[in-house]
Amino acid sequence: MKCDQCNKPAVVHETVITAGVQTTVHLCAEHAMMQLHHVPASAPIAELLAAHLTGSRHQPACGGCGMTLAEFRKHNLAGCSACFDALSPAIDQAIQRAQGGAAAHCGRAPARRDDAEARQAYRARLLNDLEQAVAAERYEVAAQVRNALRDVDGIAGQQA
Amino acid sequence: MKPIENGGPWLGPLGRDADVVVASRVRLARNLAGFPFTNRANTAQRREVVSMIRDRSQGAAWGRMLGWVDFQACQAEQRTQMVERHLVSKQFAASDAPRAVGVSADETLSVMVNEEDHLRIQAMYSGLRIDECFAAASAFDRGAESALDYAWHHRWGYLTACPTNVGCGIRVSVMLHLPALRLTSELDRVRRAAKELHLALRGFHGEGSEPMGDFYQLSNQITLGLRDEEVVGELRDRIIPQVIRYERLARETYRAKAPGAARDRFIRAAALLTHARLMPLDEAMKLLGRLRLGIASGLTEAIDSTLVHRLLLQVQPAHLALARPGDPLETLEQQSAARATLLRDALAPLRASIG
Ligand SMILES: [Zn+2]
Ligand SMILES: [Zn+2]
Repeated sequence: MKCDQCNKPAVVHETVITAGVQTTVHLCAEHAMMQLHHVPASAPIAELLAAHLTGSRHQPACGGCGMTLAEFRKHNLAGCSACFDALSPAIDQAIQRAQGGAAAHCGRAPARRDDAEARQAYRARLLNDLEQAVAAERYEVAAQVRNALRDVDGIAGQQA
Repeated sequence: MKPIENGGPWLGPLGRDADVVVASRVRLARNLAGFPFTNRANTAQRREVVSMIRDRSQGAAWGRMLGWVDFQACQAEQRTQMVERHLVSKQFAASDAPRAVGVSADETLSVMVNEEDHLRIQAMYSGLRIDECFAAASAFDRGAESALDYAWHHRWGYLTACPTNVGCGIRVSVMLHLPALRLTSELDRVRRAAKELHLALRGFHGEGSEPMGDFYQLSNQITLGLRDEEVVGELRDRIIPQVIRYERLARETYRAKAPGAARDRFIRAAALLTHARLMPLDEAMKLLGRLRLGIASGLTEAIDSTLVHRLLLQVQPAHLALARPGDPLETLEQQSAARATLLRDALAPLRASIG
């Protein structure tokens, strides 16, 4: 079986239901990786891929503290702030599993932060998450993402 | 600093719902940006985190109330005593790495540095006073964040080493006395309901500890996607009042069904506590729990719950040992004897009243 998007062998095969229509997706590791950001984090495709990556030689490791995915899985502890991006999406799933499926922080933020750029990127990502959540009819997650969006805009408003 | 001279936050006013609620606690988990988390930090980095937090808080209005204890230089018995008083966690006391704890004079606020996270800010008060705990912990937190850069993520909020704490990093726990729910075998139902609501029901000393004397800690498990005020409000307004009602109902049912048995259990506990010559820890906890239930049920006016709370601390091993300098309690039997003496003396008014 070949990847839907290129000629490499597919390693991920998944049945997806979008707006009531069932399709089967076949993807190579690279394309599955790219797709991952557009799939709800709890979907089997993400777990399959994570399992595939853990078993392979090129393990992601955190540039900040050297933590590998396997080490993180073993102790369920992140090693530094950078782990949260370096070990994504596996760490995203671990967080969401531990947090009853919650999608993002909402509420207070530290007063001392200088990250207008990160906030814009985050806002774009939240909008995308919102679209995905609504499409997948995951309304509880959608509501949380909406709250997070409101908070991001609130902080921006205060600082402006 | 000379820690633990006074009675601590447990011995404050009992407040409302004291028949069921012993104490409230709010804990905030925070990390500093620019340092690996404690589990990945080397000795030099850990030392730097300790001195940075201690120095900045000592010079500031928001942190000046803390007296600092260097845990590496601390005697084993003092470490254990602080665990017994819920000022530090067991894991914190057991570690060998550089770490410190700041404690306010009245012991209502304590700040662990280099526990699982760089900062564990916790506030504790007697009775059902979650709001006061939250206010005290938040005041320190806001001060600290004006002077230190917290680790923060645009999606996950306040970053913590363990995924179970990311987001707002808050853990609200309420120490409850639930003897009737256990007696009537309803506790499993409470436990199941708690699990469904993403709450944890744990023993006297929190994580991994056994329930002793029917004392339990109920705390939130979810810290992400909820504002800290929502976590506080949910427990304060919905969950805790419901558990209190449930326990009271069980107490009434038990008393109505067996009024003689309720009184007998109290008298037996009082008789043992005021006469025994050897008193192991688990038995002391169990009997003090029964005493507390008797007081809440109006079976005696000779003593009040504050005394029981004080004894719950004083019967713990390190408290016993440190109260008797120069008299080492080398065997379990010596410890049990010292505990029995302490209880007989403290409960003399009770002995007189039960005849
Ligand atoms: Zn492909
Ligand atoms: Zn890292």
